Amino acid sequence: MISYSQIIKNTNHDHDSHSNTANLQKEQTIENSSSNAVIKYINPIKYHDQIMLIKPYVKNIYCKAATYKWLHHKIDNNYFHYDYCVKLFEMVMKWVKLNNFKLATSEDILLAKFISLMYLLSNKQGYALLIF
Amino acid sequence: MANKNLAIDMNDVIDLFKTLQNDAINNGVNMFNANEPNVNSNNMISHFYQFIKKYIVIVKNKDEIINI
Repeated sequence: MISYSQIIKNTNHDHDSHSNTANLQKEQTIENSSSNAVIKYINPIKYHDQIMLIKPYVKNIYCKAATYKWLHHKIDNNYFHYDYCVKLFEMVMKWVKLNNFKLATSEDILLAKFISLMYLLSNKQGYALLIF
Repeated sequence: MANKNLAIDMNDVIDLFKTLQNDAINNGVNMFNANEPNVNSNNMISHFYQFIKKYIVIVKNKDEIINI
C-alpha cells in the first residue's frame, strides 16, 4: 500500500509549477496530518488531475484549508455553513444577554472560537478536502 | 458572585446545547451530528461545555437560568 507521504511526494513532482503559497499550504497540511498518528485510512482519488482525500480519520480544527472549505459549503442558495454558524452564535449571545453573563473575550474572537468548535462538532462526511 | 454549583451549570449548558442541536436538526444542517465517527454525543456536550466555561463568565443572579 502506498503511504500518504509517498503520494504527496509523487504529486509534488507532478505539480512543480505551483506557487510557493500553494506549496506552503501543502506542507502545512502534511505536517498537521502527520502529527496525528491516528490517521490510518486515506483513500486518495484522482479527480481532474487533483488528489482528493476522502474522510480524513482525524479531524484537525487547525487545518485552515479544510475549515475554509467547510465554511464555504452551500447549505442553500446563498446560505453557507458560515452563515449558519453566525446564526447559532447569535443564539448563544442571546442566551448570554438574557442571563446577564459577561464574555471573557471580545465577540469577534469568540465567533472565531465558536466556528472552530462548530467545525469540530460537525459531520464532515461528504465535504472532502481538496489540497491542490 | 460566581456560581459554584457545577452540576446546575452543566444542566443549563446542556439545555442550551439541546436548543442549538434541535435548531440544526430542524434546519437540516450537518452540525451537532452524533453519528460522526469520531465525536459521540457525550464528547460533543463536553466540548460545548468547556467552550462556555472558558469564554463566558457565568454569574448567577437568579434562581434559574433563562433558556432561549
